[in-house]
Amino acid sequence: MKKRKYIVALFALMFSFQACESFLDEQPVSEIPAEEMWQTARDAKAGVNQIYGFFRSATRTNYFYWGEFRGDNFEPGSPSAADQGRVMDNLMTTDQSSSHWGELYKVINQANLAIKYLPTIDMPSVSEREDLLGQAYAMRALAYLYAIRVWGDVPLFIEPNEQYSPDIYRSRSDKDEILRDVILEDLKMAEGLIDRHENKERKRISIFGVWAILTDTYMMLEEYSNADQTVTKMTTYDPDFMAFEPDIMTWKKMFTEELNAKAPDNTPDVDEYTTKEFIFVLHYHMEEVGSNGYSYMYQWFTGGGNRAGVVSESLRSKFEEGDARYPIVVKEYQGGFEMRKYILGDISSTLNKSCQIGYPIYRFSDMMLLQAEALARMSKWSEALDLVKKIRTRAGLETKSAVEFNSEDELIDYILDERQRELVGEGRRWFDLLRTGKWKEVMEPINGMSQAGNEFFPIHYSHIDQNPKIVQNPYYVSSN
Amino acid sequence: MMISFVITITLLHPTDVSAQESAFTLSGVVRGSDGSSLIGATIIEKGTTNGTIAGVDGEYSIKLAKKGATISVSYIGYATKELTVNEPIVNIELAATSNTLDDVMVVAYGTMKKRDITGSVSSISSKTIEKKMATSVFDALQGQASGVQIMSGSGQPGETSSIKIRGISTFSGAGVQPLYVVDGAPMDDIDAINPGDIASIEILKDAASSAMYGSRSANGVILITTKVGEANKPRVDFKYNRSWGELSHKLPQANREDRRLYDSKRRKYFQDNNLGNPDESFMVIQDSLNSFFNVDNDFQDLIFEWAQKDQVDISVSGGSNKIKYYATTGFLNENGIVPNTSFKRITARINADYQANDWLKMVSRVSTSYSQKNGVNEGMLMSSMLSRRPYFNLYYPDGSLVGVFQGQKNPLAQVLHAKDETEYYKTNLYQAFDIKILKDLKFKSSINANAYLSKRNRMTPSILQDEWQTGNSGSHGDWFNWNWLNENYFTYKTTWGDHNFSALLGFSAQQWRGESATLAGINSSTDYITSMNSFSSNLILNETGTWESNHSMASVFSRVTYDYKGRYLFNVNVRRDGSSRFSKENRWGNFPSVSAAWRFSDEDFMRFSRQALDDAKIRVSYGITGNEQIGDYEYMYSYSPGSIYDGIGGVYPSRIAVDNLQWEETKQLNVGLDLSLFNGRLTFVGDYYDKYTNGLLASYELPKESGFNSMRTNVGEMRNRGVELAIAGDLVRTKDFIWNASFNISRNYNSIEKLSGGKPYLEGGLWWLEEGGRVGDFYGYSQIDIFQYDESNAFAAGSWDQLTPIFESGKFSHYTHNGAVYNGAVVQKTLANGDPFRGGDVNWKEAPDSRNGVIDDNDRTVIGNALPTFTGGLNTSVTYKGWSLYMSFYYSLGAEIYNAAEHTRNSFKYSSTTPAPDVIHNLWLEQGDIAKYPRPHNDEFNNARYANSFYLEDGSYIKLQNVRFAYQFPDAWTKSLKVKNANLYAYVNNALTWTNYTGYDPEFSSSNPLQIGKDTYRYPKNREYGLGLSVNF
Repeated sequence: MKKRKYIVALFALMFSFQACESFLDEQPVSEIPAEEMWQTARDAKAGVNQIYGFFRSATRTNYFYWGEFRGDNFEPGSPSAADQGRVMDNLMTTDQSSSHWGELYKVINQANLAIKYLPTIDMPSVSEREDLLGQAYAMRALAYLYAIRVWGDVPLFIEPNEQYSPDIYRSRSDKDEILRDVILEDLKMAEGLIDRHENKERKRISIFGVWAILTDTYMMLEEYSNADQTVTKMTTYDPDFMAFEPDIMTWKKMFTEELNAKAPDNTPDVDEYTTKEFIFVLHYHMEEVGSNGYSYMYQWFTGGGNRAGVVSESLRSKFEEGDARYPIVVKEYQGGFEMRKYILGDISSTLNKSCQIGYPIYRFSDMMLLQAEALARMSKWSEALDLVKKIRTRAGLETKSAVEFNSEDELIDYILDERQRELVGEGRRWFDLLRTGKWKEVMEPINGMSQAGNEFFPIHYSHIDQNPKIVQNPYYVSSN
Repeated sequence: MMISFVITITLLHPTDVSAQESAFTLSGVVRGSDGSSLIGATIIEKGTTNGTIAGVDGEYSIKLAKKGATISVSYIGYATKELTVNEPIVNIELAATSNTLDDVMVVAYGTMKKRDITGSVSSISSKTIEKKMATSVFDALQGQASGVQIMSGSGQPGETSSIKIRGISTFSGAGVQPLYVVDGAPMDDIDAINPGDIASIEILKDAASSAMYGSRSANGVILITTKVGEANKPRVDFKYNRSWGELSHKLPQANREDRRLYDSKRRKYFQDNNLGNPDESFMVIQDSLNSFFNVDNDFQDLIFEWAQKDQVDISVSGGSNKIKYYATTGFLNENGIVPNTSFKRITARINADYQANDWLKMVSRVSTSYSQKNGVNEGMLMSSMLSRRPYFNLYYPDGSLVGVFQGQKNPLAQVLHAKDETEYYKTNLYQAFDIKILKDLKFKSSINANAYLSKRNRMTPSILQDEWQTGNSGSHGDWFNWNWLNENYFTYKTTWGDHNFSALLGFSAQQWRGESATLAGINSSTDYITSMNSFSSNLILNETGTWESNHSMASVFSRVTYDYKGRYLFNVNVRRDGSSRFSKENRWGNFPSVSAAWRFSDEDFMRFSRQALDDAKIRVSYGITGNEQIGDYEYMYSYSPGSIYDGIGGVYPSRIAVDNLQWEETKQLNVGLDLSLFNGRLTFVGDYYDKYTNGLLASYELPKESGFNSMRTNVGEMRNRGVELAIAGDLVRTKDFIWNASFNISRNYNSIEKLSGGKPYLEGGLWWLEEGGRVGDFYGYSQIDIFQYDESNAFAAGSWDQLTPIFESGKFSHYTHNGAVYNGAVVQKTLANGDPFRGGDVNWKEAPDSRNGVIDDNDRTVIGNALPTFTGGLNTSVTYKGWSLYMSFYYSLGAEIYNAAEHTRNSFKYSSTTPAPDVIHNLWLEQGDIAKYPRPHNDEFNNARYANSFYLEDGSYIKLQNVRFAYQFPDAWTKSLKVKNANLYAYVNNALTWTNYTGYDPEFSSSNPLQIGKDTYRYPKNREYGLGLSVNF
């Protein structure tokens, strides 16, 4: 009897001594420890793919805020669109959601991770690895290109942040240095890395995507000859894949059908588009983005109750009589001139697909008009007008000849107006005004924008609270 | 417990009591001084182990060794009586006493007499819980213990509460909750415990009491002991409560006339200022005959209805010498004041103790519960209900319900059609083996397993979706958590003369596992099916998946206590905990504590006071407790699946790597004084504490340009100091009339001592955390008033004194300052771009260090604080014969509330949002208006800027939480019905609230301890009127 109870006690004691050190080693099940990441081709693909995922979230609303609403294409569409209206009316404050850069810097950090680790991965296909690395460089360039156009100087990170240290608190770097030393250099790297044969993916960065960002960059740097040559490369490299679509009905189809609910695919070597103009499209599909990440192409532009913006009077007045694009782009509906470029029919007929319209980032016509602008700057006026003519002919319009222009500036305005009509709703207008310095001239009569420094967005106040090294853009803060 | 255990052992060996020649049998009845039968009173023959327990009607019978033997008769709550017996029949009357010092209290890993406690512990008995008419443990505790602040979440049925012991001592949500230990088994939540099953609740507040639970005890420990049966006393208890609840008060809301006035004011404003479309609001209502736009709805009347609650508890208990059992089942069915919100709960519990032989005792606790909650998105419902235009109909002319109209959801459609149903399955199994190795040495080993499963089904049918979204949406989530714990410890207890000594040494291992599975879909083919099969064609891939995470802990713990004559008491605890949540280098934490107490009332020099002072004790304790309540792998740099883009899933870093993530440690000093006066009729407990938390675990906001949002880190240091007082007394005590009352009050001082890098930061857009500041500091702009004229925005240069514009025949003439004409330089308040604020704009106060005339982000300051200065409770009960009246108050004074819901409602951002009637009648419309609210349009001057001191309100309140009027049927009646005891009662819960706060209720909780006091309009609590009956057989 006595003995038995000692045995029971001893047994219980032994049982409990299992609590040793290894018991406390819990390995994650639903996460990947960092040292296990960036090991295989699958990791490389997943890591690079996330750059696009972040970029899609970063631009979901900002595509419009940054590129469209800041310019003169739109005016407030409904009383409920207070934030959008304040961007259009130049009434921005530091709590504006479009002044928040967190999502854009996730793109940058993810690209930095890919740039650091991809070269260390032993992949069966070297060309695939280089292609992914090229995409990472190009996406980093694109993210910084947006950042410097929106805020001016921004903090610069070209190495990934992996470990917390005081070094993550950085002040803003000069925008021109970022443009020349980071964006341009990244794009040159990407140009050499991208797989020109296997990568025919318009939903990711292909060689054409690199060239498009590069063209944009050269235009900002005023290196017009380089811009011109880059677009020429795009025109001649693979006309079966990338070319101007001369037919206006194809033009319409491009926006209303080709962008809408494109099925996800994982085959960069197969081109699933039937039109040839898209260079880089941000892909939206409901299965992927869910009910909180749908495309705003539809919801923000239709319906009197909640549309964010309607086509402005100033843009409508710029459409010439007989412009075939006008009835496609503009429709008067519920007391406003809605932008219907991406929408086939009225509300009820497209309900189910309405939230999955992709965002075109770059398109071939855009490149042609940039080339025209570059040529105009290089005093090649008639060559410039030849390009404009293609665009205008498609819209059923006559084009002026070179002799009809008195100055380069007049021609530039002619091209810019064409860009505005051609590219409305494609997130380009404000950046055109910014690049050409015409923002003051164009916007002052509309919303009074005139003071130097007003061309940049405010920096969200939380960024300054979190990092005191960040200094607000002077237009939005007193100087003390 | 201890006494009955001794007796049980004695009764195991009835032959030990040898029948002597002169033996005789004594019998009789034990009664209390109030005449009640003391069932269960203990009768012991002094100097022996011979004893018995009084049975039904207090009858007892005991064999004594000889005539003239001394017996000792005791019963809890009555003074023990010793008497020498010579007659065979003796009826004994015991005097009632409220001297509870000999009560046994549950402490960490054991029990202790209340008089021997050296730490700071509050105890709540089942009697109190019963009176509180509680449906959850939190209801039962509210206002009962000093230093314990309980905030009920909202009035939504099934909503849990938050509990804070001695202030907020951590920055993370999970860590701020105390550790719950039910019958020795730690629990993650106690929502499933039926308060009727509880025998006592002990709240361990200081480090010395709680440090035995080491790592999880920094915010205190709540020990819950459930009932067990008593040997030879079979008992059946039945209780039924039924109550009806109503909205305690409505919020002011614009009626049709108010809203039309608002529409016309806005039209005038838009016309005067040449803005947008002045008729925009009127276009929809211009047809005066259209019934759809011309009703006058009171949405609060339309939505709220009478709530109902039924509660039935049945328990059976009893046992023999070898087995004691308590089996119970409870059913709760509650329907809230919002239709289709409800909570149903079935709980069952079996407690059993088996005495297998003289050295082995087995203890089993099995409890299980099922509950079902039908919820509503309270924020969305309240805002759509309170801001909807009152003239909009809820039904179309054909009788069908309106879903979304003009971008606004119909609150009635939300209530009737949105589904949010959660089912909870909870089971707890606990087995312990008590082994008596030697006379003084015991070993206890226990195994405990908890399993929780919750299944949440949500469905928003297409009627509630905005027209541009795809059809409907639904989701289903399963969360399964289980954990096991094995604890083993030796206890040794001995006495040498006046020296009492005990020691404990133990070790434990515990593991948690959490699994979740979520399915989400949109646009199913039918609204009829709310399960996920109809969504399988349209699953949202990035929200669909399963997740798993694990966590383990291992611990060694020990305690030594020593006392001399119960006068000098010492207690030392040490616990060493290892947690898988930290890296190998930082895995182990040590949590020692010491405490001592001095019963100075036993000293000779206190002899003079014995007449009044029965007992007086000074307690001092100091110790370190820990907190490891963070995510399971947060020390680890890792990657997670991210967004899906074009058919490929992305992977991104889930968090930035952080060096040296460590245990959060709280050092706590406690000094306390216990006094008991006039034979226990008046007791006083006072405590002072000083808690200093090092290495606060928090989610720290990173600069977003790092690519990360936040990181988990030891962010700083915080101090909480405070004083707690509790006084309880029997004010009147006669045979028929008893009046007692207890009062407690606590004052806590919080201060943030250190923050990472000294850098202050803004939490959740509203709360400012800085060194020297306090948790709950609201950060924002201060509104002085509304400029009356454009010209009112004029200040004397230099002094920034506001000037008064003087108008002559309608034209501005000049300024005056203090009544005198002012001719000096005039400066204005402007935006950063130089535009001056106009009449009807808010006159914002500038921050002292930014007096430059420009109103910008630099003008935000700390505008208030959400922490209360005083909290506590007052409980009183009056008993006259069979009648009793109980009232329970609690209060929280000095806290401020940021009324964010009202700010949103009144921000003039959206024309469809209807502001409060006060706003409609007092807004600025034209030059010269002396207004309380700004111009009815939010433009770049951003009069709606967040946060605004105007919406900061005094959140002090006193609540009469419970009133209970009960009648106990006389024994004579009950006896004839073979009933031991019967009570009938009526009660009111949440009876009255005294407050200046304008929202529904100043009491609401938040799960994040840093984001407190922001009211986004919660589901209002109801005032509950109830009737109940309890009977025991």
